[in-house]
Amino acid sequence: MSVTNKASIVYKLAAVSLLLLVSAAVFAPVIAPYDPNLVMPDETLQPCSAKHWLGTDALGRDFLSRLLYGAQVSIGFAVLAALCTTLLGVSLGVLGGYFGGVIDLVLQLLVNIFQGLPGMSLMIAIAGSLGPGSASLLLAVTLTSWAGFSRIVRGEVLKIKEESYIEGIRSLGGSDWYILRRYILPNLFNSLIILFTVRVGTVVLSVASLSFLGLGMQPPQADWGVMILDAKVYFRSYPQLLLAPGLCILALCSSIQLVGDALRDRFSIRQNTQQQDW
Amino acid sequence: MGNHIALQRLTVAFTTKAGTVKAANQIDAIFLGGQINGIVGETGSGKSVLGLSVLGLLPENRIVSGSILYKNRDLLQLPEREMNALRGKTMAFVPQNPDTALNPVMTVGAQLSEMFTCHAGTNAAEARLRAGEQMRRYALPSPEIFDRYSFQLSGGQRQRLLCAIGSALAPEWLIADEPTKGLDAVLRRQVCQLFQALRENSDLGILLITHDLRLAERLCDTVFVLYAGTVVEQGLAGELFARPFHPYTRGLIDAQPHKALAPLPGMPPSLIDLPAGCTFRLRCRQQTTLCSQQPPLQNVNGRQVRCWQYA
Amino acid sequence: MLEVYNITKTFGAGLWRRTRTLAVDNVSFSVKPGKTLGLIGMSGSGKSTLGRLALRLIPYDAGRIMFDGRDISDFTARRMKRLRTEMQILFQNPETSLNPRFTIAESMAEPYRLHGHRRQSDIAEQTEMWLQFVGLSTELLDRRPHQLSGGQLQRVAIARALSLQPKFLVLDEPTSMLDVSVQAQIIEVLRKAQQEAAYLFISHDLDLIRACSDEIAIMHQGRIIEQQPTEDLYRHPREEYTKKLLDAFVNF
Repeated sequence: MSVTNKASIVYKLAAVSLLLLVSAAVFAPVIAPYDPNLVMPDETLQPCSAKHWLGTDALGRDFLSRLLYGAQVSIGFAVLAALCTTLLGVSLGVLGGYFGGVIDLVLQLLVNIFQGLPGMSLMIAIAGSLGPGSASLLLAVTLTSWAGFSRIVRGEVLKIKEESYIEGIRSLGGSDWYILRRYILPNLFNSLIILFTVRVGTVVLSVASLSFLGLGMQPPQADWGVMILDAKVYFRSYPQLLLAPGLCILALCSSIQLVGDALRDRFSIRQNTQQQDW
Repeated sequence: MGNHIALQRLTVAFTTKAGTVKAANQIDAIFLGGQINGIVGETGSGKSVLGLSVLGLLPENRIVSGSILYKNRDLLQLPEREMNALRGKTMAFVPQNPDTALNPVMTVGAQLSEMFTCHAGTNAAEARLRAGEQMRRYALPSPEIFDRYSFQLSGGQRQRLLCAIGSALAPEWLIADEPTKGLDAVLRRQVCQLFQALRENSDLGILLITHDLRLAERLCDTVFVLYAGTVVEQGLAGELFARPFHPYTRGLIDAQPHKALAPLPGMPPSLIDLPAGCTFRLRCRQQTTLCSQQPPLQNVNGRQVRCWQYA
Repeated sequence: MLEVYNITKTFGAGLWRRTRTLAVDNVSFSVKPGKTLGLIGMSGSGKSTLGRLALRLIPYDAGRIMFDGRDISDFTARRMKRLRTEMQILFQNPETSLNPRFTIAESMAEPYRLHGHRRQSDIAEQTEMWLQFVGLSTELLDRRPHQLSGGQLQRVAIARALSLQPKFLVLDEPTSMLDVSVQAQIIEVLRKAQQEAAYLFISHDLDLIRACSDEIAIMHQGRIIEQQPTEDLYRHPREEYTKKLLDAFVNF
């Protein structure tokens, strides 16, 4: 572990902010003072006050509540999408990398096709053609990101496969599935943590972008991206409507990435012997 | 000959997370110019450190004391610029493992010519000429090989190339770190002949760092046996190998396959946790109460031995 | 114990397998129980490939293998798995032959897990016994490979291979990455462990093979060009290559 004291403060901060964000998401129904979709036409665009801690938006909805519920939607969806991408990317990457041959050739072909398609355009196309909504969003995000994932995983698997100890287990009588289960997958852990956490961050951004374009989460759903879209018109006079969700996205992406980094450092087992031959 | 390298009370340690690695402890040794001096030891003996110290190539976390005298200058006190001037021209290094020591993206000819253009100030054309000569001297088919890359050469050719690069500027000293590591018997013989030719055709002093006892026996004039950071025996190679004095030297020689293949019990001590007294004590069949003190190097018929049996 | 007839293996490289390298060319040999056959060859001679072919770790193109009187050339993966307990291999690089993420205890338990023995207490007892047999202390059990030396790791690998009590062991340059004194220790352990097992000792060090083998086979460019009992080979070498090889070692 090479985390110095100064750097570990950064990691601790990241962990704390991630915890706060996740708690906000989980406990939103409990701590939000208002229903995020409750429209209060008399109280539109209110500044911060005792009644509305972060004021209200253009439709008179309590901003804080929307932010909290937004956390639920954004983080929840991002984690789900990242999980789907990971599952798809890992299984295909491992299959291709480990078994090689025709399977690998076919999968490589698929990967090349999918990677060749421009991500954002593909997402727009899918979301656009299937109609907006969470399901098509999930499909869009997963389909555009599994290829990069699978390529990295395949590379790792190829590397691990060549290690002497894999041959050793085979000579002891280990079957392919045994090797995959006990040797290949656990050794992928290091890379997976990083890939997963980065993916969560990217998904949040992608969904926010799509929502901004009107193809993602649909209003009145409280999602940070939608909130940025809503704030587009008003933000010059009411900057907090834009800054708050934006900062939340920034905080989520950076803290999850830093935490992923720290987790990887914490759990990685030194691969090379430490002995320097003096 | 005047170009001896004298190590005086050289102590090298490294600070690491696991503790301080004491790789060399109060080493006194004189490497004679014009001869092949062998530093023989196993993993963890500290032999590589000696070569690196002479060349000033120790890593950042080093703690060094003592001196390395060469032509009345202490190499350890020289500023980096002067050490740079010394390296390559006066003292050349032939590193371990030709596979990783050669630049894979430069042609063989370019790497050799570089020596001339960078250190001897020649222009490209002359450098190419001299590189060609140097290659022929080392039985590398020039000009065919000139534009090839190192991975296109055989193992033996790579090793010869490394020696060619090292000796390109006719240095006074060549420090070779494990030149036969990972090479099979046929290649080992070629390398041996290479060094013999080097010795015969010039005044070159060679410092041969190796764990290969047969190579040391064949090539070296003087041998220094290193164990856990200290010299335990040193003397003329022929006599040392025929009649070793120190129990470790004896054990090491007997452990060879063409001798008794007799195992030495135990393991060498960690350089972080050196035991008190004689470093070989815990594995020595002849240990006595005296051995709780580190013995000094004693002169026994022209051989230096660090063992109470000879005090 | 193990008889190999006319084994040939060609490696193909490139997408359509167009570049072909003949690694092993029509090789036949046999190893008897309790005896050691030394296989010597220089780099590129095909000796490591032959070792793996003999265990059916990689498929061969032609030939037959008989193990313990049975023709195992066409055994399915499942039947081979059961046989795996009887034929083992020891690798050259001790530092990469164990999973770096497993503790020594976990690595030692693998053979048992693979072959259905799951009683923790039994496994622990057996592991301890084999570790002591190879001269290691049980305090190493909780460590990981990067904390052990090359010699210790090789002993663990031996203990693990031995725990299945194989009848045939392929030793693929087991000591070439170890120091001279450690090499002698490992050879001593291997000798102690042999008993009735048949050993195929692969190396490029003829002195070592001479000290350890009953018979020596010389491999060159994929073929066994000469095979004789050890001392006979030294007294009456037949092939030119053999003589050259002997010369490189004896007259070094």
